[in-house]
Amino acid sequence: MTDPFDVLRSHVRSVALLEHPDTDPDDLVAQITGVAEPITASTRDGASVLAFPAARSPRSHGSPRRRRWLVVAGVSAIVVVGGAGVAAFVGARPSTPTAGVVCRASISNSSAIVIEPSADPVAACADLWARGDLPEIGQKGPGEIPRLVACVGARGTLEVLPAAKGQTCAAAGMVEADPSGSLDDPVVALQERLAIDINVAACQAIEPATDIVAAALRELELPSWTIEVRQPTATCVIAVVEPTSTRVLLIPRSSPTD
Amino acid sequence: MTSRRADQPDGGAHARFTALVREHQRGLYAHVRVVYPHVDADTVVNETFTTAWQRIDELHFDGAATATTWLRATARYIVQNRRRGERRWQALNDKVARLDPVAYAPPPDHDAGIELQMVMDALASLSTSDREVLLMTALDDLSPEDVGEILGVRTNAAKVRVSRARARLRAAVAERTEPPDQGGTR
Repeated sequence: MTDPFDVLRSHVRSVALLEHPDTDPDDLVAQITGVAEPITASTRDGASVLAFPAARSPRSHGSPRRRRWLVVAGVSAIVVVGGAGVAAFVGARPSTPTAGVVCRASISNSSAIVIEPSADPVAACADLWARGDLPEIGQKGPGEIPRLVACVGARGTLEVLPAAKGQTCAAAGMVEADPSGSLDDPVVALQERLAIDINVAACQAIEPATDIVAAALRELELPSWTIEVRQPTATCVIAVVEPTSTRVLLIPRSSPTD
Repeated sequence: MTSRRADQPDGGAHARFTALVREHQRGLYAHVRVVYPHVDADTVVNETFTTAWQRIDELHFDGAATATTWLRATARYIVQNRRRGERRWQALNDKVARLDPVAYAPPPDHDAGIELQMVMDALASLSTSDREVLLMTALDDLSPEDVGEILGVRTNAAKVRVSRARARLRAAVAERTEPPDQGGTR
């Protein structure tokens, strides 16, 4: 299928060709200049003009850093599978994806449940613990909710896992998740992009996956990042983002026919 | 050297404003019509140019791109203020119907029509901010700097928003093309 954005572009441009303003430009000028006065030095005070963008003003840099935890309705369950940390984006098709968030029973447990990013990932995982919805990672049933901490895993995923009192992410070899991380962080966007374009497919072959990663790196202007294919003979791969080494790994995954 | 009263625009201002309207009215109208289909585009364009006229003494654009982004950013302010004032901001899902392919250029063949309808359905399922970014970049070849200027965010943030919105559109379309419980080899 054609890239949906190309379809959209072609459509809106054809729509725009058919759109005409009701007023002729010269009539509009006459209409406006006949009624409104320019705001000059003597009329500026008290003028009820909204704070419109200033001409030739420096670009706005005021976008406040927002909390990384994004708003998403509900928590949907998803997948699993081994290889420490690798489960991160596998199989998840979040309806409003932002970044990889997983619930783990422990750092040593190779399985993880991928959840949709939520306003509060710790609370989202706590809900799953409370409902006993984590049998895949060894939970026996509904019960006590362990103390949970949110850490950033080695592959840049957000990992929510139980921690004893006083225990920190560092004890598990991870860093504390930064709740002030910006959603506009290109790495977050990269994770999201690869999760959507590669990891949700039942089987993504190496070549198209490499093209997708390369396009994403170009688009997000991450030129220093590299792509590493772990097993060139693999039939299907998933992408794992490694912010620390600025690499995207394409690692084998089982194909649907395996 | 010419002199003029402080409260009176000079003749050059009128000429500059006329040139501004002639050059940008059509493009701005199309932008508002496509990106904000729920508002009356003529009214927003009129208000935008009224603001430009009121501020004509301050507006000294370096080039067409600057005027283009200033006008779009101002139109966006107006749309947002109208939205807040009237408290009638609604999800665009039904409003996007005004971009109904059937109402405009009919696609050349059946498959293209289905594809377009799918894309428009997917677009309608996205957030208003994703739709805004997608529609404005689909209509005009805006650079990340332009998008950042219009949205009032940094260039890098604009780049990310565009990339994210496109990815979400692809995902929304994929959801409509693949059976729910089966993936597909791409």
